[in-house]
Amino acid sequence: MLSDFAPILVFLAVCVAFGAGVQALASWFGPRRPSAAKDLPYECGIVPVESARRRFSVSFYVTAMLFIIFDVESIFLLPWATIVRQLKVFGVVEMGVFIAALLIGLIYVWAKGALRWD
Amino acid sequence: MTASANFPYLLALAAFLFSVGALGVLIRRNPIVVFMCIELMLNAVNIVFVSYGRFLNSEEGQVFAFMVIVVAAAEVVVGLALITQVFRVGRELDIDDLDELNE
Amino acid sequence: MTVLGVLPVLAPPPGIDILGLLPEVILAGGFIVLMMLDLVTAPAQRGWLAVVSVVAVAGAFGATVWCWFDAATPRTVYFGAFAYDRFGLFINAIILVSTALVLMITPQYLNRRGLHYGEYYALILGAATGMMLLAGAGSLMVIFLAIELLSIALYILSGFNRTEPRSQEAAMKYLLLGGFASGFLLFGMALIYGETGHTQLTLIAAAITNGGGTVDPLLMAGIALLFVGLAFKISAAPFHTWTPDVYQGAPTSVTTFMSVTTKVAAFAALIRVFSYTFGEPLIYDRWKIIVYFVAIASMVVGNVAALRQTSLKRVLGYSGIAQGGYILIGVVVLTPAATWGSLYYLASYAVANIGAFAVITVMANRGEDLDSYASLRGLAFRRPYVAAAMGLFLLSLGGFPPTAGFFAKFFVFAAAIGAHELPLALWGIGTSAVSVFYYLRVGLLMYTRPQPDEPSYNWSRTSLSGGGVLALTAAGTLVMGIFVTLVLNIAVSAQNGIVLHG
Repeated sequence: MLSDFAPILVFLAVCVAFGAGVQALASWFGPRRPSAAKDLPYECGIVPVESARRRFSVSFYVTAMLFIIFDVESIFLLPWATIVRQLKVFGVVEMGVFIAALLIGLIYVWAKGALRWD
Repeated sequence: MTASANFPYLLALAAFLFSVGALGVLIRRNPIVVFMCIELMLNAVNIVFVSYGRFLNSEEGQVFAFMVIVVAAAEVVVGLALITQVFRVGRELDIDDLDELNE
Repeated sequence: MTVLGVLPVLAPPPGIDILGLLPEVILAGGFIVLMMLDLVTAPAQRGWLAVVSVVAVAGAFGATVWCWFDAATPRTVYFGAFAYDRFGLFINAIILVSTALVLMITPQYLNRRGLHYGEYYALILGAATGMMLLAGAGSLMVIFLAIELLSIALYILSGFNRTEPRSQEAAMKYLLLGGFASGFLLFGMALIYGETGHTQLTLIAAAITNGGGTVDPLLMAGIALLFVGLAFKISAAPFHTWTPDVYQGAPTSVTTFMSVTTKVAAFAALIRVFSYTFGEPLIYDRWKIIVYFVAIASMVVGNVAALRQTSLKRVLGYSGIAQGGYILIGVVVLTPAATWGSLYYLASYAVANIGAFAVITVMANRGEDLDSYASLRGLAFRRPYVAAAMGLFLLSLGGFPPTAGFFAKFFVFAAAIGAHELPLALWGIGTSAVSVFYYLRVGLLMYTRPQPDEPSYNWSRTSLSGGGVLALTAAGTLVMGIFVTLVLNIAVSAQNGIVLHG
């Protein structure tokens, strides 16, 4: 059973060996000319303006939270889709009720102004 | 390799992830990280549900996992809203500093 | 084809019985209507939202009464996911009455605190819907969803005072520990599902019975983890640490609500799952040890810790932990008498505890809750009726005749002795004796004349609805203690009506 994983283990070992080998070769044979430009996070042009660990507007959180909840609710469409033919019209109506409940949530969020970006 | 042969390893993996999450809840201090640890616990449970469902050839496990995913999302939304609110009323984001209610 | 000709197509497939969920559907409808109404209601008119929510609760109560007569033969609905029986309906009735009482004291309290937002009423109804679903849950999946529905609503309600750090702290603690407990609950459910192959309680019970004489260790681990998750919701020691903090930090009207209804609903699920689904002797012998220990720990920890408190809200929090321990006796003991004893206990606890918290809610002034011992001194001389009602609630919680609490304790302890669990009953009686100290201390404080140089506390005037709630709960405490058979007959009928086999 465990031997089934042997190729993965070999693959891992080859990966590690290759990475370490290339690094070692580069540090032994390559020239070393450090400069300030090379120490920048983005070597290829964009000069960072400030630290990335600054505070973000709380609007990002609100939008992200609303996205998560409406996005994940749609997961229920998947199991429903597999049996909707057997449920006939009743199944369609049931899903309609579910979507309507979500829609009411959306109306609430909208009317409360949570979607406004100020 | 069949699903049933894998099964003990899946269960062990889930138990391991669950323990990591539980330990994280107990020792981490940042509420957002604590929250992520709770999510880890819930997702470990999802692995158990889905692998049992596969093992027993029943759909209930998968349906249960769907429910857990959705409820976890709802909990995250409320949790993040609360965390931002705690931050707004001027508290540090360290749960050891939330001690006004201890006597 | 006429319009009516389409209707048979819309009829639900067999196995779905919408009438079985009528009270919950009404309440959930009220939740949605309130959310929409809140959008169009002017801030000054929000008192009407309380009226609408009370109407929804009354409608659900009417449906519950109708279902009570309809459910003479218990059955499961929604393919076994939900139990339609008098046991669940009895719990529904307690939850709905408690919710209505809380809604009556709410608007005044919220107005004084500047917290009068319409979402409050919607969330209360949402939480109550979850609790009722939990009381009737016939499958692990419904138990999980119901617990989360009530918990998420309560997390928000605990933090309803958005500018008060203590309220936010309470909500955060409740949320993080609640999520943690949900993890254990789910892991337990996953293991039970895996080892029995089912999520429906009746099928799980059948699978355990058919399993023969062996006990699977993973199944036992699952049962233990499920118990941890539920023990958190009933705030049984050692899973109680959140309780005093959350009760103190949350707005008092929310504390009133959740201290009673959450416990009632979670106990319903606990009795249904443990006493009736895992009642198989081989399994019972194992989980009994855990519940036995937790029951004694709750009685001891709750009562001893309450002695050291100086805030009435915290005292009632710890007293609630201890009361949970007494009700757990009814779960450990498997006899029918223990089950209806627990049901009676839950009803008496609900009435007295709502009353006690309602006193704090009604008396709270603009700035603070006045729940410290110092502020209670001499209450009887300035508010004689309120103090008398409070004294009655404390007597009931302490288990004195002629109040409901006396018979509640009597039934539960008698059931324990009847099932040859004498040590359990002795622990209960012993810790009750300890509890007398702190209940009496509060009572004596109210009847102590304050020193002339002491600061005078600014208690609010009791409004009509607030006074009405106090009068109703006080009357309920007395009626249940004097005309015992009134509620007892219903509790016995509820115990008889529990669904055993799909």
